[in-house]
Amino acid sequence: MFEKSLYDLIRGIRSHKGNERQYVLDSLKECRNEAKSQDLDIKATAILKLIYLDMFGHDMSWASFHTLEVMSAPKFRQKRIGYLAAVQSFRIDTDVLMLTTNLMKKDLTSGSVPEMSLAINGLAHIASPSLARDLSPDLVSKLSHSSPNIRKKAVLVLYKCFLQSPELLRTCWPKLRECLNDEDPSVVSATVNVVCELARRNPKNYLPLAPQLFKLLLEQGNNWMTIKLIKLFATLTPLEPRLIKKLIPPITNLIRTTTAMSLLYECINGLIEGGLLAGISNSVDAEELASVCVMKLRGFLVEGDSNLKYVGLVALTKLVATHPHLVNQHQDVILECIDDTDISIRYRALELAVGMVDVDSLPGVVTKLMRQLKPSKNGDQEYVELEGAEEDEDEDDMEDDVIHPSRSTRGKVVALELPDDYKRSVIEGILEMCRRDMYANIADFEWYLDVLVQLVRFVPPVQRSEEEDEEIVQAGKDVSDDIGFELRNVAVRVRIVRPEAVRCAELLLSRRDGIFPSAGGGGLRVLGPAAWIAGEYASLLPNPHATFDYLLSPLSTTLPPAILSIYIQAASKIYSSLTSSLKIPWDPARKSTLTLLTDRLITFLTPLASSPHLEVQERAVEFLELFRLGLEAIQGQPASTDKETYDPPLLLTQAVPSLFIGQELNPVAPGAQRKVPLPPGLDLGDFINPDLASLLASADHDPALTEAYDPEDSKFAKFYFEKAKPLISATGFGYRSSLVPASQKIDSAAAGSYQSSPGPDVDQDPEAVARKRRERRERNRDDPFYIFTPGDVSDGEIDAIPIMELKLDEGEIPPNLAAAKNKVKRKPKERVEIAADEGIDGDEDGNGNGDDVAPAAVKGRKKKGLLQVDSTALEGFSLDDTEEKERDRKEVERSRREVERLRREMEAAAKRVQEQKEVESGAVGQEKVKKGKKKKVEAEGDGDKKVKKKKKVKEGEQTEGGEKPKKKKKKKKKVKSAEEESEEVEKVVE
Amino acid sequence: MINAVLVFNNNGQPRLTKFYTQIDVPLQQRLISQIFSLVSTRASTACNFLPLPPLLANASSSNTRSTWSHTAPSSSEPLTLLYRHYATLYFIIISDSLESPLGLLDLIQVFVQALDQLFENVCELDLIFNFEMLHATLEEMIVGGCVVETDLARIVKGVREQTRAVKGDKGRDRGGAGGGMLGNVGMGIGRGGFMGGDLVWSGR
Repeated sequence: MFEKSLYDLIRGIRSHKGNERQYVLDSLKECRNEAKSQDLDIKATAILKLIYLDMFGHDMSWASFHTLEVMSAPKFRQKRIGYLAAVQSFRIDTDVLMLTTNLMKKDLTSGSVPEMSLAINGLAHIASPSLARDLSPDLVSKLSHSSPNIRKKAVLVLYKCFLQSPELLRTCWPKLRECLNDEDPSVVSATVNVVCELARRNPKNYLPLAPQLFKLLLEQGNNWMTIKLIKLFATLTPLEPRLIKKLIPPITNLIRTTTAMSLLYECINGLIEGGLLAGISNSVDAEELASVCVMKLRGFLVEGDSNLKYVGLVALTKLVATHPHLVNQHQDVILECIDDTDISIRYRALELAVGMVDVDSLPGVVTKLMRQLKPSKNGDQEYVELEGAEEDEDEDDMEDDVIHPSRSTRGKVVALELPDDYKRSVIEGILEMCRRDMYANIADFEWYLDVLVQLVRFVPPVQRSEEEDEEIVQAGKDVSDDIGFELRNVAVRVRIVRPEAVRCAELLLSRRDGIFPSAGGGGLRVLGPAAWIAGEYASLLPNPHATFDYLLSPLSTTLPPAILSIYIQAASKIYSSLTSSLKIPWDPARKSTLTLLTDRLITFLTPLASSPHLEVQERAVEFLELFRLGLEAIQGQPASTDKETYDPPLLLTQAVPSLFIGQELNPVAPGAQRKVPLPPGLDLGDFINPDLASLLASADHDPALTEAYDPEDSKFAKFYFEKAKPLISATGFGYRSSLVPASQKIDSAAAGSYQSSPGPDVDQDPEAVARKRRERRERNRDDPFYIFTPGDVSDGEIDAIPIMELKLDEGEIPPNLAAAKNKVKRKPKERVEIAADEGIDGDEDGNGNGDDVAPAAVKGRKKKGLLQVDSTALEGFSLDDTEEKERDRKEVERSRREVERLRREMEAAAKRVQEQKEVESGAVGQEKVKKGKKKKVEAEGDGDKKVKKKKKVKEGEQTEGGEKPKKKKKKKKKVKSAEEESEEVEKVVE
Repeated sequence: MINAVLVFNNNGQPRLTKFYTQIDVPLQQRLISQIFSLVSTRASTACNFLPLPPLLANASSSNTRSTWSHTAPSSSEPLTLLYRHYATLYFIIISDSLESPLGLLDLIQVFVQALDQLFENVCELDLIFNFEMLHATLEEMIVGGCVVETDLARIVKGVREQTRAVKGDKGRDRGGAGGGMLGNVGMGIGRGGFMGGDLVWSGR
């Protein structure tokens, strides 16, 4: 059978249009056989074909052994195929990897440069820890190879080896460092590249290089290297602020003179990223430099090159954090970019705008963004030129395009369709810029509410989780959640616009045409918060009966269960506010109205009581019971007539409202709850009744106890006892974590839980009572809707609670809503009270996200990006020339001391022998042992003892050697240095 | 460093895939198709930066979407996705923040120029049939994800050296048993065979 070449394969695929798949599968089968062939040519061709097919997704990892065979082929052509296959298909866990060591060693030491570079290149891809260790000596020797081509590649491959086995860094570093002085610019550039990568992992190691790098920067060879140097310095400056002063002049010079846009951009970027601009922010020069940067970046934006526009926006986004005023000066051009036809640029501009907006520009920017969201009408549609994707002139040569890349004139004009993702980002961006710094930028909250309601209309459909499992996580979140959150946030925090917020909620709940997107079903999740607002502030509803109707409409039952359960609660709250009024006389009309209302609620809840969703079901069942009682009460209470007056049923006027009405809900910092201190003397691990377990157990088993009740009661008893069983056993075994919920319960009760009407206190600890009272007092005083006098609050608490600054002359906001409304409208700059999160003493992280974010960050660190290199081993890995050396030195010191200790023992032994003859020498010897330097001096003074001492030292060495023959190489070196030290002593002695 | 270099044509058929981090073949294919769907809808006037495809956006905390926090976690570096479009081919580079984006765009240009010199008026077919050479050229420029050479002449010289070595042992081998894999030997036929038609790969 005649074997196909790669060329035949490609042509074959081409000619089998329609059933390429079958053809490819056949070819793969052929390759499988050919790869087993004894003829290396056939084998190599098979591998080459496999590489080609691998590119199209036909995994060739099964052929790893054949690949290895081809790699070791004598002919360069075959070897090259083998190496290419290895590069493309070998993974760190490929089992033949360990067999490549010798082969690669051989190729690395080969005489031919191409072969060597094949091996070097191959190693860059397939390096494993063991390969790295075994081959690094050869690589290091390549650093002084005569061909610069080999040298520069070896430098880069060494970096790959460091990634695999970081300890190599220590041994190879001195050689690598020398490459910075190589005569070939490419080698130097490659070395800078490697140092740059290394420095990102642990910049501290490379600070000593700074002078050398600085020299390279001044010499300014190739732009590519200069860019790398600047990036490298940007990672070093945070550790060595003194570098900043040194770096500013050359970089400023580069910014002013260079013509290369990439270099200019990277200079500016380096200034920003390295914290250089922030580092010198107090001087006049710095301000000037910053404004030069911003001017240059402005140039990027107006240049007309879309790439420059893009990077310019990225740089400005980074700069806006430190120099917002400078960036703000260029709002005009930045805002133009928001409407750019290119979606990538829009994203960047949006991000920048979010960081840039202030009180004045916010409404304009938001309006601009809202306009984008509006579906474009015919006529003012945006058009974009698309690149002709259906070109079939495959053989078109690229020469023209080499000179004028990517600007081909052909293409068609299509309407710019904004992707949903972008719309989502826009909405998120609008919300973010509005809510930043606790609504610092918002002057007019009614406007904001209006924006929120309008945004609902533009919410793109909920992301369906496609076949991608990663997207399921995202699908759980929808921007309408965010909008709803904002709506509720404003309603709770900004009391002055609460009526307005409630009105908006009512509007949303009505689900009128035009409020929600006409197609796709997006935005519905805003209904949950809207219902919550309507229920919580039912007394402010302009039209409670209508809202009640909206909530109970049959349409509601189709909502997601999470929203539906909020609906149940909200409807009950509105019901309560409708029925609880004592003022309306209890006449027949009222009685029938309420009967009707109750009846409707019951009709609504009845089907939900059998809902498959537990939360819905539970709430429905509970309220159903309650309202059945209510209905009975209404019917049981005779209506007032002319002669007699009756009060409305107590259940409606007292019992039901008491479920919902309590203290006002205030925002509480997420971390505050955890900070509520445990009352002293409360040991959560302690049993309340130490005998409880046995008590209950005996009750459970004692028939006398259970049977004593009548059958009805015993059923209950059984029910409860059976339920209690697991708990008993848990506590019985001292399973402490089962007690945790109890602690949380205590915490939540103390920290103003829902409707915070603290139930009867269980613990009568006077301390705790006092604390509770204090807290209650504080809660009232702390009510962020009121200005509290700082006089009666301890200093710590004032600091802990973030409060909006208030103008005193403004006084209390009058409850008169109309007046307040006007006030806000006329004076947009006026401060509006915004309730901040409540915290507890010593609540440093005001918004309390400190505790919550930390674990998330840790989790994020663990998750590796798809394309990310695992460099954790290099992180924090220090070179021997810094602390490592310090550690080594200490170790040397220790072994030296060891030697001296032994010597001292020897000396002591010798002393005992000579004691009678020479008393003095013993004393001197003993002192000598303590410190090297001292000893030298002593030894000099002790000249006449030289022969004896020499002997002693020798003996000490022998003992050292004899005692620790198993020591590792490293240790040996240290011992050696200790020996050197003793030799030094000898010399001195002599 | 550079994480990947990809070349595919207007139909999304890969012509060169080089990943500098080891990832599985199916994942590679998914990534390519995601990038292709992003890049193929770009306007010709648009900039050469791509938003991250879902595969990458989820893994590394992307800067394009959802996270507005200014304190980006340092561990997962934001990736940049760059492309350039030449005639029928898209050249893609995925890199992290340590590379200069504008510099990389120039690098693609150098790459294409080098190919152009090596093939004399390079076209997509040259790259299909000589993908070994394509790889060799890339290897002269990028080693293990780090840029090793940006000088056009030196790149071309390096590739030619290798080609000579191949031809050298071909000579010993009594002339090209491996078929027209190198040089312009097969090109004439190749052009003929592929005229006016797009390779549709349904097996991908």
